[in-house]
Amino acid sequence: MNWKVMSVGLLFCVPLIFVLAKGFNYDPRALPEELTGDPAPNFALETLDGYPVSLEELKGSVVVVNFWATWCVPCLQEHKELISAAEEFKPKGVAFLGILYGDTKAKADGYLKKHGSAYPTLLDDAQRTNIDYGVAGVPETFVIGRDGTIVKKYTGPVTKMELEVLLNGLLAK
Amino acid sequence: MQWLWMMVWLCVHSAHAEEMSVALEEAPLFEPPGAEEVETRTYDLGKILRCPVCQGLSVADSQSDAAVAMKNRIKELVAMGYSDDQIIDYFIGRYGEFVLLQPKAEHWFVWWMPLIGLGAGIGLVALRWGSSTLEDEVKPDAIAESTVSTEEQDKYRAQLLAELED
Repeated sequence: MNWKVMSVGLLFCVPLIFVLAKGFNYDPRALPEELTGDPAPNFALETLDGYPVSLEELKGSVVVVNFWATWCVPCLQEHKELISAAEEFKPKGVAFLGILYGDTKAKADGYLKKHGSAYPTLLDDAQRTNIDYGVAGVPETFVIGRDGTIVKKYTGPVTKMELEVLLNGLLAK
Repeated sequence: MQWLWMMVWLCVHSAHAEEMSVALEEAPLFEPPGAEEVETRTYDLGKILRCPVCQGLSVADSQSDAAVAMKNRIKELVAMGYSDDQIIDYFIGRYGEFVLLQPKAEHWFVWWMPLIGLGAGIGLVALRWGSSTLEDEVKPDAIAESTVSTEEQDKYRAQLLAELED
């Protein structure tokens, strides 16, 4: 056996195997959840009807914040799930809020008229809240605990079942 | 090769993920700068930061809604007197180090690995080269040693001639 070739081969292969073993454990589509566990950035925005809403006012309640847009196909996919979850959990004290991402009030009004609505959608023309929450695309949904910290971030369409499990757990605390 | 560096970056990134914090809890470090400085620094910071909805484009180079919103936010923070590091930390705190187009200098492994690889490659080539020139030098002797004796050659020649005559 040629030990020189063997040792050079091992020198290259062992780190490569280590890197691959580590790397293949990552989901390449997963976005970082940097804010999970941190205080939710505050926002003070207006609903489509012009009523002011700020996150600070909702402190003490579990809050679900969903970033969405009318042009986003997966948002439509989760729309019914969110309405259903809101109808179940609003009476239990959970606040649901939508925040419009890169879209117009007129389009959102038409969309909600057509597909239904169970909670207010907020307008953020400056798109500041999206950045404060590190939103890279829609839909993204944040669940904020009673203490005002972000408990979970869902990237992509969320299901009612996923929310049910999490919200029941948070309400039981 | 790019996927390999991506994986190396992810490994290193995961080790530092816990160190990140949400910035801007502290006050701006500087007095609000002049309009010209705001523009220059907004552009320079936009060049460092990645547009989250684009393919490898910086915030400064993209015209997407997300990039424009990020540019506006950078401008706002610069105008308030926040330092470049504070602003970069603010974005890292929200989007992770993914938002940086270049890995941070503290990830020495990512920066030095290409040089280490290059050094190892040159070393390997030099090693092979050295051994092959050594072989060339050795060859004449080796050939001389392995050459069949003249007696055998004569025998072979005789056989060959006999066969040709036939």
